Amino acid sequence: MADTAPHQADKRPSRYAESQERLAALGRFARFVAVVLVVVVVLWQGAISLLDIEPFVAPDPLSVGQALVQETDALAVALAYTLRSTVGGVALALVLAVSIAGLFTLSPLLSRALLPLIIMLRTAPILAIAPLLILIFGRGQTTSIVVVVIVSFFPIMVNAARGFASPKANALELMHVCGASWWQTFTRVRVPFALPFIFTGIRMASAGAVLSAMLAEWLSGAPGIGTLILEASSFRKLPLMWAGVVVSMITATAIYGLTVWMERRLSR
Amino acid sequence: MTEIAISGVSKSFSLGKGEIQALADIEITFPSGSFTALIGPSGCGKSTLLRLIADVFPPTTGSIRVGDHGPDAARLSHEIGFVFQDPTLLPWRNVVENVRLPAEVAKIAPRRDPAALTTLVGLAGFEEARPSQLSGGMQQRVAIARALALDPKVLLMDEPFGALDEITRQRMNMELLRIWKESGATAVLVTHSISEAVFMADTVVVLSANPGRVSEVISVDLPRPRRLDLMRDARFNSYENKVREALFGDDMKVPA
Ligand SMILES: Nc1ncnc2c1ncn2[C@@H]1O[C@H](COP(=O)(O)OP(=O)(O)O)[C@@H](O)[C@H]1O
Ligand SMILES: [Mg+2]
Repeated sequence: MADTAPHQADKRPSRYAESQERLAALGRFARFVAVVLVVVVVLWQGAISLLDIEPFVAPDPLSVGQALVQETDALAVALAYTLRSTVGGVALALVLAVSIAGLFTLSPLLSRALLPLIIMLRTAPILAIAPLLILIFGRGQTTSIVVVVIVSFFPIMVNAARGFASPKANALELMHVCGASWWQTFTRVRVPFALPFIFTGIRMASAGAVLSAMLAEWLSGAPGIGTLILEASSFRKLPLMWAGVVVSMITATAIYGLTVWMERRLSR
Repeated sequence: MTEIAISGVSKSFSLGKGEIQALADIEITFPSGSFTALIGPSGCGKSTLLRLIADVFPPTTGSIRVGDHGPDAARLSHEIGFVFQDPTLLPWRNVVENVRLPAEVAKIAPRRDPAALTTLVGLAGFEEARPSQLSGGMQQRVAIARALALDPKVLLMDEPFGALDEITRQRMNMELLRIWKESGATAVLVTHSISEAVFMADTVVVLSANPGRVSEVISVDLPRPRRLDLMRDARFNSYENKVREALFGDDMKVPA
C-alpha cells in the first residue's frame, strides 16, 4: 500500500522552540524600533542645532517629549476618538466589501451593473464630497467613519472578489455534484479560499485608514487627533502639534504592522 | 438498478460569437453495475459527457436518464460520485473531513463510514493528515473515498490516475476494481491509456473528435476479477489492438 512516502510532516519545530523563536523575533523587532527612534531623534536634534531652526518653525525633540508627557490625557482622548473612527470604518468597510464581492459571485450581471458605480465613488475626491457627507452625517464620528469606509472599501472589495474567484473550477463543480447550494459553496469553499486575499485587502486599506480618519476630522472638526494637530498649529503650540504627529504616525504604523502580522499568520 | 441511458445527445458551447459543438448524436447505454471506459483524442468531449451525466450542465439536445430519473434528480438525491483528474481536496480539512464533505453538504449521515472508507482506500492511519502531507497517489485515494461517501449508484471518473506514475497507477487500478465490485456502482472511467481501458472495462467506448461522436463500442469479454497476468494474454492484446484500430483507423492498416 506504500505507493509513495508522504511528505515529511513532522519536521516542524516543537511548541517550545517555536515560542522561543517568536520571542527572539520580538526582541529583534524591539531593538530595531529603538535604534530607529534614537537615529530619528539624533538627526532631528542635529538638524535643529546645525541649521539654527527657530522653535516656531520646528520644535526640538525635548520640548515635543515634554508636550507628550504634559498633554498625555488630551492626546489619549483624541487618539481614542480617531482610533474608534478608524477601526469602525475599516470594520464596516470589511463587512460591506465582503458582502458585495460575495454578491458578485452570485451573478456576473450584478457585478457589471455595480462595479462602475463603485469605481466612480472610488475616484471622487473625498475633499469634494466632504461637505455633502457632513450635511448628511453631521460633524461627529459618523462622518469620520463614512470617510474611512469610502477609502477602505475598494482595496478590500477588489481583493475579496479575486479571492472568491480563486477556487479552481473543479472545486466548485465538486460542490455542485454534491448538491450544494450557493450558500454552502460560498461558506465552505469560496470564503476559506478567499481569506488570505481578504487580509491582503485589510492590510492595504489599513495603511491609509488613520490618515483618512484624520482628514475627515480636518474637514468636520470632530475631536480626534487630526483636529488636535490642526488646533495646536493654529494656536502656535508647535510641540503639541508635533506630539500629535508622532502619536498618529506611531499608531498608523502599529495598525499596519498588526495587519501584516495577521496576514502572515493566515497565509502560512 | 442504475442504468445510464444517453439518447440523441449533443452538446454545444457558445464561444464568443460562435459556437463549438463538443458532442453530437451520442447514443449509448451503460448497463447497471457495469464498468465502461471512455477513450478518445483530447478535446473529443469525454469530460463533457461525464459532466452531462453529473448534471453540471444540460445537453443541448437529446435526453439522459440515470436510473429512473434525470441527471438533476440523481444529483440531488446524491446518487453520483465524481472523481476529477486532480484530487480537488480542501487543503484546510484533514483526510476524514474531506471524505465527510459530501454528507455534510447533503445534511445527511454518511451512508458509508468515513473512517472505514479511509481504510478501504488504503489510508488507515492517515485520517488526521492534511492533504499537503500526502503524496499525489494518496490524495487521489482520498478523492475516491470522498466519491464513495454517499454510496453512489454511479461513479464517474475523469482520468483519475492520469497524473500518477505507471506503477502507482497500475496498483490504484487494481484497487479501484476491487472497490467498484464491492460497491455495485455503475462506473464510467475516462482514460488516455488503451491498456488501462481494456484492463478495467466491460465495454470500451471509443470517441472521435470534431464533433465528439461514438466511433466504436468494444465489449471486452475477459474474466473477472482481472489480474495483472491477464495483460500477457493473447486475448488482452487483441482487444488492445481493436481499440487501437478504432482510434487510429487507416493508420493502423497493414500497407498492401
Ligand atoms: N465549459 C466549456 N465552455 C466552452 N467550451 C467547452 C467547455 N467545456 C468543454 N469545452 C470544449 O468542448 C470540447 C470538448 O472538451 P472536453 O469534454 O473537455 O474534451 P476531453 O475531455 O475529451 O479532452 C473542447 O473543444 C472544449 O474546448
Ligand atoms: Mg477531459
